[in-house]
Amino acid sequence: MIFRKRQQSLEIIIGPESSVTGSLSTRGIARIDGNVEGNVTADWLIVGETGCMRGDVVSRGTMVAGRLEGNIRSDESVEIGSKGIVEGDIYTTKLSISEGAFFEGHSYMPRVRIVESDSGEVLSFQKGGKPSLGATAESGSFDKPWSLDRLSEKQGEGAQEKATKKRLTTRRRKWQLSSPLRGTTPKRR
Amino acid sequence: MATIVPATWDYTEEKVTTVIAEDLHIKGSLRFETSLMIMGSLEGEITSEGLLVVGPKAKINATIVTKRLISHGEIQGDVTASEQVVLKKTATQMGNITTQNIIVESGSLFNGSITMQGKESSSK
Repeated sequence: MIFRKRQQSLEIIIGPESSVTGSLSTRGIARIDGNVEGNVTADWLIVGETGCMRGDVVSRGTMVAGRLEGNIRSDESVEIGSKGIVEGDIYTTKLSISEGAFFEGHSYMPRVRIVESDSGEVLSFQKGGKPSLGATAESGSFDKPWSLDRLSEKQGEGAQEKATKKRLTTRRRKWQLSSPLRGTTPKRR
Repeated sequence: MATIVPATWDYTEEKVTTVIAEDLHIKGSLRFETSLMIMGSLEGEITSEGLLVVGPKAKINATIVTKRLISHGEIQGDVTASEQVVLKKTATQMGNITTQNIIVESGSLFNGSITMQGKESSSK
């Protein structure tokens, strides 16, 4: 689940059977599974699926799986889960809304894109491509057939043709054997 | 937490009936029935009852009315989609969205307001 992140200092927990009126403030993480009416300031705010909150939020990150009525101001990220309901404005740098979520309000984001998130896929693509090049260069699987061919160059044309053929087949076989991509399908976007 | 929405380029050129290539720039109004993929740029207005796919390098400055929008590119203008709006992580959206179902991937840039029509606001 998304809620596993940064649970090291869970400071406030409002259980599903409890309700609070008034503002909450903590430097750690606040998790709301019950009812809260009032503003919340926290490092991270988590509104659980049974949680219901009315008030403004100021935090580093906010995750909403329940209901939140109020404005959210989060420096890092706002996530609305698939059963989440948010009514209010969101000020953040990274917004993610899952399918099925309900969000009505305005979203304000700075016009500079946070690159971190979209490098993930690119990296995973590079990871798939790089080792194949490195492995062939290191093992030198291409070199041996070539050196054999150079020896056979002195012989007649027929031999050379044979050598080329052999070279190609060994090369292909070696490629297949050495390729770390063998038997894997490339990652799709 | 996989979404039902097909992967990025599942909409190949075979499935999408019309494709506006990357080097094509259009000014004016567009109307289509089934599906359209825009890779180039467009200024004006789009009206449709189908699927609109906006490619990652596309720049659109238009008012869009469609059934379903999947955006990887840049859109400036209001969007009304009767079914669904998907903002992929490379998407930039400057303008309001009116739809029933929205997906915003983390990494996308969205400035504007969302109105969820059709879906009952459960707060009432």
